[in-house]
Amino acid sequence: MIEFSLGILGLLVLILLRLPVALAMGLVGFVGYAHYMSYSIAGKMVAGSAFELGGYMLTVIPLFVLMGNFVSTSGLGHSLFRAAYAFLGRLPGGLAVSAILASGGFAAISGSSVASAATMAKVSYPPMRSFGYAEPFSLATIAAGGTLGILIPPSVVLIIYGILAEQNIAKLFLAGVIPGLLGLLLYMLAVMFVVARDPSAGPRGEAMPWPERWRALRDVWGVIALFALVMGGLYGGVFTATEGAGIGAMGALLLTWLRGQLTLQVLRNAFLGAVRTTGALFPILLGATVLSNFIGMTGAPEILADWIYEVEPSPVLLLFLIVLLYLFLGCFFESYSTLFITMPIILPLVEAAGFDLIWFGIIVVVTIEIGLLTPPFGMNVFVLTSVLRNVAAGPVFRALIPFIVSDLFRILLLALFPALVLFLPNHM
Amino acid sequence: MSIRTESGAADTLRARLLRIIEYASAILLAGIMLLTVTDVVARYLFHNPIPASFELTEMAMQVMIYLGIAVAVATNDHIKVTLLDSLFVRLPRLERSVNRLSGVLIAVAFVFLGYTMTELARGKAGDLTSVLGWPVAPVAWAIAAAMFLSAILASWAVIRPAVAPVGDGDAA
Repeated sequence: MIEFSLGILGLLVLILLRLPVALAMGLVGFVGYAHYMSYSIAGKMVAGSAFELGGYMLTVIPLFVLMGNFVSTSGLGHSLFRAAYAFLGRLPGGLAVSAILASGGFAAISGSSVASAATMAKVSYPPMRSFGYAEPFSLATIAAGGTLGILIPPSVVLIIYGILAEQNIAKLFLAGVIPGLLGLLLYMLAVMFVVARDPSAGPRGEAMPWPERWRALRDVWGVIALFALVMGGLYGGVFTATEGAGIGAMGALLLTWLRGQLTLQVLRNAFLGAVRTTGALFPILLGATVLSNFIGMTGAPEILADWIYEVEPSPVLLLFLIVLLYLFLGCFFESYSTLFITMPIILPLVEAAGFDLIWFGIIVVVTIEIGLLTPPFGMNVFVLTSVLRNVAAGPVFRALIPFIVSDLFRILLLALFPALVLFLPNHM
Repeated sequence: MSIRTESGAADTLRARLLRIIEYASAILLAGIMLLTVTDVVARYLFHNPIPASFELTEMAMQVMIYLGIAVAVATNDHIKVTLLDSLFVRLPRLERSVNRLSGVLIAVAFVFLGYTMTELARGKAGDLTSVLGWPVAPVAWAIAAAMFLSAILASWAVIRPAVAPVGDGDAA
């Protein structure tokens, strides 16, 4: 237990010094492992982990990133917003509601929350402003809408959770669907709540005649079809998560081509972008593997699990504490790091407590995503302030409060009614 | 004058090298995508799956990842915790030394990784994949080569930090 504490302490110091998270985890894991075995055996362990890093299952990550890249470069964000606006623009707060629906649609193809927020900022912010929406409220809507990308599959964070927790990725994706849609619905309610209190915060948009509505919808049928194909294939067991990712990427490429936007430039950017994201992400996976090999040696997971068996805390209390922990961590660490650093310790704990790991994963991911919206480091907010210059973050954080409250309410619902999460994966 | 031309030539070399790595990695990714789709289509339409697709995907993926990592290293695209950034901004000298130290550590780590990977490659000499019967060692050698490349690119990023553009790290 001393080695374990020292290791965690060292890890904290190194990452606070801004060493790359992957390097910090790898270094601590390697030295710790060598402490138990020897440096030459630890070296072999690292090389083995590095060689195994390119497992078949992990191919889902670059392929799904590729799929999202095609969508974000092909102007689909625009079409999605137009389609949502055509149907919902007339509602009070209609543009904000449309922005959220469009973010949800974008999330259904893209696995990244930041990409989603950055794209929607360019698409839905100008119309909101021109209809007299306050700046902080407009930006809060976009930032919150972006977090939908994390849960509505495909989701890179869910894939990573699946790998760390050794859970079926297709099942995790299906488990994310209803909670993701629930988030969409609750965010729309949050908009309506804000507008009900102050109608001038979100004026109605213009009504659109039906022919125009159908035309707007025709522009997005491809996204809906692609999502249906990938998720349907996973649900029906027609293909594995990796195959679904390959088909999704290919489908997104074809879709871009059908829309007449497949230039050499788009093709290049999509592939090179996927390569870069993969290159930035996989070192942390390697670091996490090395670190968890060390943590396994310390015996700390067993000690924690034994402690759970002995104390038998009420599941409600345990879950409450874990959610609190992740809310706290989410304020300070970015979501990948939070997952990677905590999972080797938290997983044995919740396994001992008898939690369903798919249900738990969804709850953790919703909790971590709140961190993208809270000060001091709400990443989605800072993405927006960097995409649109001359915007202050403070008022946006205040305008985000209704959305954060709706997220907390969502966690409560998912905790009380696990069927919301487990219904789809259990009927696979 | 002569120094400037030399470093200019070195920068061009680095840019070319980086481009080759990027494209090689992108082509592997394209190959993985096409192979996966073809496999599914062949399985359902022609009841004739590609037996080696699993193996080929895995091998391509192993090499692709490490080429991608080399790209990320060259562009300084590391996922870091920025909790103390406000503090670092006020201490520019500390920030610079920490960045330099971290760059050196990255380079050392890749030299070490490359070395252990060559050991692993030697150990795999004679191993064959189960379906195609291809030797496994060349994949390990390729990974080791990519790791040494990463070490060179990481050292470069330490020596000439201005060259490395800030990557648009797309986290979360």
